Amino acid sequence: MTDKIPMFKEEIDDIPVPVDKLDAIIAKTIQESVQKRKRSIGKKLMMSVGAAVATFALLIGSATVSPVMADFVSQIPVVGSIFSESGDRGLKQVSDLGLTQVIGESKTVKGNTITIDEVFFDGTRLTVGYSLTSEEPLEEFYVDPGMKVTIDGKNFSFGGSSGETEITPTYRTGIYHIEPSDIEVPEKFKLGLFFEGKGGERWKFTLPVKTQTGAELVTINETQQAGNIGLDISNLEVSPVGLRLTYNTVVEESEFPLGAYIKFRAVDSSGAELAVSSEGGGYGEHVNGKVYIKGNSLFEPIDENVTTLTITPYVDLPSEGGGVEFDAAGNEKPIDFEPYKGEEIKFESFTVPLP
Amino acid sequence: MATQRKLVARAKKGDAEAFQALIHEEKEKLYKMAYVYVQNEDDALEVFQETVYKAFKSITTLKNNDYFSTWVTRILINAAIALLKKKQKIVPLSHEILENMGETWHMKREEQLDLLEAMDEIEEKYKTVLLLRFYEDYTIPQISNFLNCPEGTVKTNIRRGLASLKQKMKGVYTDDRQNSHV
Repeated sequence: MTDKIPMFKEEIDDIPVPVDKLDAIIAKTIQESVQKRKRSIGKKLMMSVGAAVATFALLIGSATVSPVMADFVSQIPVVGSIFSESGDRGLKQVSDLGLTQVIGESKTVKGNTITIDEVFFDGTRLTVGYSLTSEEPLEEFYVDPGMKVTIDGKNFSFGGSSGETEITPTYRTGIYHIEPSDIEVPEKFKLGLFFEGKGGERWKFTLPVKTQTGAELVTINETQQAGNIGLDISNLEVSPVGLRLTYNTVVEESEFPLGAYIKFRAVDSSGAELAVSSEGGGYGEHVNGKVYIKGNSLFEPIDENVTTLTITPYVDLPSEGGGVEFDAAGNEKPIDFEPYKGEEIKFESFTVPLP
Repeated sequence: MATQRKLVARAKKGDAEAFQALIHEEKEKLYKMAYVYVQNEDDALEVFQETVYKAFKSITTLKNNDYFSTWVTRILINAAIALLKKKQKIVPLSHEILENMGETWHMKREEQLDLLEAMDEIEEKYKTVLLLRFYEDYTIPQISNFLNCPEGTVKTNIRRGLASLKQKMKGVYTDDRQNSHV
């Protein structure tokens, strides 16, 4: 050790602390959380009926209830809060408006419990919120992010993303976004979810899901050509989950697959840029030497007084990357990456009136 | 400790004032630890806010009322690492920018914060064990329990962390400013 390292504690203690700011944060955070708790108490009482049933079944299922188990069961969090606390404004809005399906179904395998908290399907994106509670601390991504999903018992291809938040070492929450691509999803269906844990656990759920409709559709039909990409933006769906822009791209098969890297910037009539909930990716097809990609970008909900949106498409090329592709049987195939070396691609901005 | 235990019990029943009292006890230490990870006031405040929010929301999941301090420290470290990961994804800094930042950093902070600067440059796993061992004064078994990893790994990481820290600090002291941002 150098002679400076024994000063470790002293040097860290010397970091100036903005005490007033800390006090303000504490007061504000607690006050807001308490108000939120009061506001949602009516809704949560309704939901906890479902949670109580699940808990009851869990206790009956274990022949002898150990004190650890009883203690653990008493700590199962109230269901229906993962979307509203995810930091995604669209998900919070749909959850607060009661448009999501609150599930509260738990399965325990080897002492680790997954609870499906909330599900939402708006016809394009299926979002599942879950929590994982364990008796012992679990490592990060203990549950395999490559979950298997079925609709009415059928496998299908999908794009998606997942994320998890560790609240404590024995309690974490997660959200999956799934965008089915090669299946016609019925309005009502049975969703099969198959989670796998690193300890070999398998949790299986079958949940009835109902599509939430009622989005207002704004037809756009904007067509542009820039460099080798043909871009067609068909429409904008406005719903409580946010604003979803649907687009198609076409690129010659022999060219760099620029169509997969289209993104959009949206600025409202007051000049504020909209936050993006999800973007990129999409579902591609090779037809007659061309690659067609259908994709969508979801922006967070906007204020009611916004009248127009100015949208600018752009190409967001990564400097490094690659990825994986899953087929309908769930097989994984790596996608190689080669950087784009062609000319700069620029699209025109266009304005969309809002309903 | 008995008072803290009572406060935790009250906080778990939803008593916001009790929770507030608990956080006030820990706030300075939590902020300083956050600062070591993120190295600027704005981000340290963000990490602190996230920690208060998560701790308040999930206090009912704290099993042993004696361990509030350890538990909230764990939440803070997770929040700090999450913020760093998020920033890494969003701002891919070029080599040039990093070099310029190094210059400014030295000019502003001069030498009294060399340890912090060196801490910023060592791997997260080392940073965490060094903070727990030398700032929080945890024992090896306590760190092992805290991080849920074997004591041998903790010892190795402390040894390697110290070696890494020593090397970075030596770099700062002996090299000229141009080369000092290791």
